[in-house]
Amino acid sequence: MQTNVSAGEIRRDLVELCNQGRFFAAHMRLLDSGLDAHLHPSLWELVERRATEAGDEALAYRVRRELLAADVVSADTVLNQARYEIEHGQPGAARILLERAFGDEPENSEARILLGIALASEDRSAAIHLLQDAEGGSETEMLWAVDALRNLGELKRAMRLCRVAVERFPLNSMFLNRLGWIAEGIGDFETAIDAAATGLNGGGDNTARALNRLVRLHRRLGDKPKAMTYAAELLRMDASPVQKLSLARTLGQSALLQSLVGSLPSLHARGRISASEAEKVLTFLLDDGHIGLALFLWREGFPIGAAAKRVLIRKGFGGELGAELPRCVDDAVQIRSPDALFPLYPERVNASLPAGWYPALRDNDKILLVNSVLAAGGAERQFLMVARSLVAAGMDPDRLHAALFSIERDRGHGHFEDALRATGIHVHDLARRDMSSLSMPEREQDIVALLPARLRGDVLALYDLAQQLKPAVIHGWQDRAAVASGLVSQMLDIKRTVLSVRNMRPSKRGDETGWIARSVYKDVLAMPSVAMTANAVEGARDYEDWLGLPEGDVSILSNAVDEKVFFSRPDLQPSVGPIRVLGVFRLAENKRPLLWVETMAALREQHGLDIAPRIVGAGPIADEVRRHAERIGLNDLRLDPPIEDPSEIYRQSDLLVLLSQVEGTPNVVLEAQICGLPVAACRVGGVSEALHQGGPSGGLLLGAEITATDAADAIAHWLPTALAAEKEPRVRFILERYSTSALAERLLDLYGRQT
Amino acid sequence: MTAPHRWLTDTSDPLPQLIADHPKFAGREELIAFSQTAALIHWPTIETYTGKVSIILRRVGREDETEWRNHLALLQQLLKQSGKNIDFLALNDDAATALSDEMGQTVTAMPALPREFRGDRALTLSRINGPLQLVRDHSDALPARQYNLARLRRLAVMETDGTDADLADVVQFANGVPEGERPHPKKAPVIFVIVPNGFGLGHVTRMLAVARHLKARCGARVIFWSFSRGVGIISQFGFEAVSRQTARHIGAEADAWRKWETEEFAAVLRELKPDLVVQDSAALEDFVVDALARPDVGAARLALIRRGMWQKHILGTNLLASENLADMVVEPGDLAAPADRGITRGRATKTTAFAGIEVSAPVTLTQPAELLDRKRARKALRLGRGRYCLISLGGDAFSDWGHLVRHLIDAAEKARVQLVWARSPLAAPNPDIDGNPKIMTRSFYPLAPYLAAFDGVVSSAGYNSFHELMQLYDGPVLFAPRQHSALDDQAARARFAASQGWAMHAEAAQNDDRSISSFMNDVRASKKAASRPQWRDGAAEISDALAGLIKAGNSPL
Repeated sequence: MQTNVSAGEIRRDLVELCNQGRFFAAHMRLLDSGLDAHLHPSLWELVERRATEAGDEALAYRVRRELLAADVVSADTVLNQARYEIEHGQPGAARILLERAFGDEPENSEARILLGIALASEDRSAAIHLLQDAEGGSETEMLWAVDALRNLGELKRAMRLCRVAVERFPLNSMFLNRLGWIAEGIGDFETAIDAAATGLNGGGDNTARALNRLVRLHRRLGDKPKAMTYAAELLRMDASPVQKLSLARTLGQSALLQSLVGSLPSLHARGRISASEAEKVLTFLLDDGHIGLALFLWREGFPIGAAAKRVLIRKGFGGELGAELPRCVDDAVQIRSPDALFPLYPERVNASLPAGWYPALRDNDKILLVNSVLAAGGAERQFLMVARSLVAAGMDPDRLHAALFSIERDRGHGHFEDALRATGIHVHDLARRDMSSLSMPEREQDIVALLPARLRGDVLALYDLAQQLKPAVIHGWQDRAAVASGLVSQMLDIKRTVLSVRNMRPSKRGDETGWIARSVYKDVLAMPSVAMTANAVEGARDYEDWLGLPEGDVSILSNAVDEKVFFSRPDLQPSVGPIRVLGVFRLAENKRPLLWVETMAALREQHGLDIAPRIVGAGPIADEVRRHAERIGLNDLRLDPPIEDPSEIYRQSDLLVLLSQVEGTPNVVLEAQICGLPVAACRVGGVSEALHQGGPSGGLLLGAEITATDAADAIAHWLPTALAAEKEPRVRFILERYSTSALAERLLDLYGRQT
Repeated sequence: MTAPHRWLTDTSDPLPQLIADHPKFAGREELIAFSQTAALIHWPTIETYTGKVSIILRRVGREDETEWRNHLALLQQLLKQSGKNIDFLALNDDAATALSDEMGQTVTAMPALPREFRGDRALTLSRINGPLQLVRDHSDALPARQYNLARLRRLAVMETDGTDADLADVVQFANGVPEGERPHPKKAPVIFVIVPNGFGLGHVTRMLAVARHLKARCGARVIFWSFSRGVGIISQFGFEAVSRQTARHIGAEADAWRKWETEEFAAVLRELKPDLVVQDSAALEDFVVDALARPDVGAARLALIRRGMWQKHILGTNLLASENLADMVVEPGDLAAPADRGITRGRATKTTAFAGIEVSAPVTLTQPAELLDRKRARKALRLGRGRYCLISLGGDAFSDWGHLVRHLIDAAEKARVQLVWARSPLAAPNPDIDGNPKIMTRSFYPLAPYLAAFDGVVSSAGYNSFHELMQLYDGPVLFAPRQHSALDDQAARARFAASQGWAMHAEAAQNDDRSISSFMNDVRASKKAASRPQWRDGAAEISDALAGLIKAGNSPL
């Protein structure tokens, strides 16, 4: 409708309508006025700006589209539109807008950061280049840049930027929070603790959040007294229910969590819990897999979101036709995800096997190998060995795909990435996966929606990849990946699934979420297309016992040592100086590095041995190990970080000592022996299987629970013979049992190779 | 479970149910946390409380040992940080010793409860599968959340499966000791009677009959918790009544109503600590069971009065689950029992969790001594000379029996019999009846004392009408049974009476008016029934059984 009203009058009307928050009416007024965006952009920008400020994103977006169509947009409008596109998962559209308006090296700092974010998925280095200039930006810009760098996995850069932001904007707790998270991610616990401790002054829930973080950090460091001190401080507070529930989860105290949930209905009835807090509680519980506790609170009148309610009802909980909601906490706690979701497909239970369910592996079939990360660990090294051995056995690398939940190098998750890529296989970083085009049937959506949050993320990303690749085999490696692989293989009906677990059930490793794995394994192992392996007999028996499986159901998939990398050099003579004692392990409590250090001290002090102790490894208690060594006089302990190819360190050593409390089949024991070294190790996990025993070349098996003095006595007694003995028997022992070709043969059998 | 304000509890902990029974703790003003876990979750309340605080420390229970130890460690941290002075208690000497060692400070054993049961019945409690359960040898375990340990300790000696140290302590505490302190002596028993909102006054009438006996024989204070609209009648009989509304009446969502009703009933239980709760209905209401399991509501026994003659289409065992919840199930006897085709038939021979299922004589509110003679009855009803036939078909029965009433009017006119329509006290005026010059209307309750005024009766075959007519009336009776899925099997009852020659029976689809004419001729002739069963006092039998239940719970055996 054309009118004769002047632009000035329209502006007044628009200002009035915007002041009243009637943006839709303002837009209609503008349309009715006939004053188009091309000739009167300022009027359109007025409505766009006011709608953006008021949070009416949808209307602002519509107005911006008209400004963009008229090609009369201001810098602010472009920035608003770019931000909108990024927030709505369209970084490509944002990039085009920004480059057109500001070029590919914007001088406008906000445009620079937004372009950096927009470029993240397509040009990582350009994105980093743009984002790292954010140090002089505004508070908001710096926050965006920090988050963008975090999302890129550039944690060290993000941390540097965060430190600057903390200095510049000390009152903004978001920077401090991020600094803590990032520092924890890269293992800088000191900074993480400092950041969390600073947050203690935040007041209210900020203090509670900081206390929760301190509890978690000190638990990760194994400092239980400090963790308990902070936990008690939090319990003394009148903190929000979610913070107290988080504490119970962090402490791994399920009874405390249940009791807290049981106390909530009366608080809610007395109006002590707001609707938004109640919703947060339900979200927390559902994210944690506590479906039953969420249902209990729903029954008790907690406001449950419409989407969650729909999913729960569709899965048979509540509603007119569903199961009755639990009436008490004790009943509710029995209903946990994923357990309560099984069987995922009841119609397949007892169904006769479809024709061709067990087809042989065809020459063009894809194999999807899945692992959590590529950190510098033994399991990750074996994951690499799987790829290497298959390629070495003649499999086309193009058929092999490796999926990792994270390979962020700053977190130490990419230690073997280059080596894995060097095999020529496809490597997929699931954390970076663009899942905007993921399509999933409603039934699978419901399953995923009710999974515990961490598992939900893993399954979604892996589902997306597997749906695209359509592999014939999915091979999950270690519990986290095995669980996701098992679920995805069911959801996509993948023909063969191999779940390779390691040395012992999760609970024995202190993993309090082990019940999730147990629940999934029990369900998926009922399918004849799913096989489980462990890398040592002891581990296999432990999993069988845990899962209630008959002996032999978990088969053995032995580790392999890359004989091209690890080999004995006959030309190398024993050192003429001190005995070079090597320890290669993660500096974590269960590897008992302090016992190792004390044993070295005892060898020197009580037995007068001339030794040069060296540890290669990293971990949360590295500083404590160093301090302890100095305290007991082992000042010459050499503590080196892990390196990708440790073969040379074996050749620079005379003896390997491993005193872990927990082990599977330790790679270091295999590697040291194939390099000819004598090995002394505690009898835990698969150590006795992996250790050449008997004869003068045989290794030394120590008791699982041993003191430093006893260990030193035994080593001192055994060592002269071991050092003087032939290396060959040790080398032959490993080659016969742990070669790459043996591993490849076994893998191909598991994958269904035609015989 | 909601506990008293000064009790800090963990909702799934059964201990608070017992503490109210403890003479040392009942009514104490101090703040008590019932476990270290309860203390942890309610610590801000403990720290800010200015009075005395006690924490009952517990041995390892449903949590694993690591978590249990962590809870004690956290508690020690809280004490250290707050400087709070707290008394630590344990459930027995062994527990006190063990917990003193663990905590490094004095833990005092609580005085034992007096033993309340000395028979040989034993119940096993277990938490081995998660929630606390009552384990049974030959049936599935029962969820213990439905029971109050203070009540169970009066029913049996409790045992555990030996896997849970804390549960063993709780059970030992519940069983009590012979030399334990005695609770205060009880006064006259307090009894709550729950009456649902039935189609008529059946539940109210039956329970009024029982209540009168309880009041007369043991001086009981009987309070009705009534969903029936006949609450005014209850008051007229001299009983206290709490008028309640069903979810349907107030349009409430079922769960919200149940929660509300549970809270309300629990509050009253907490106040009055009744000796017995008795419900007359097909099954115990959830709110009754839930409220009785709350802490500090006392240790009332629970009885279910459940008449038989359920319609044969009502199947399944859910409704029978109440048998496992009550201490006693009584089936008011039914003269037509041989014709019972419902699922409760023969239940008296079944074994339940603890309840004995007993069958009494038929219950009538009116006793023979209360029957008026013809003259006094007619005077009371303002009826003159002539022949009168009472029609008592229930509140809204006209729509079911419109054709029968028309036949009756014709037949009565021919036989020169005056029809008297008994309007239920709950029924609204009915223009079809009230405006009919051929029918007189009278509203009176109960009917039985006035039956002598009538030369014949046409009646529905509900429990109370049926038994009053068959035991307290000797004139001709024509039963017009009501057919409603929520009612008892009146048709079977009426057919049975006809088969015994006690009465005539009208079919709903009956178009033949010859039988009605015949009946009306009998009325005209003031014919007497040949032989009907002799009256027996079922209400007294039930009352005695309930009194026995209370007595067993209150005095050492």
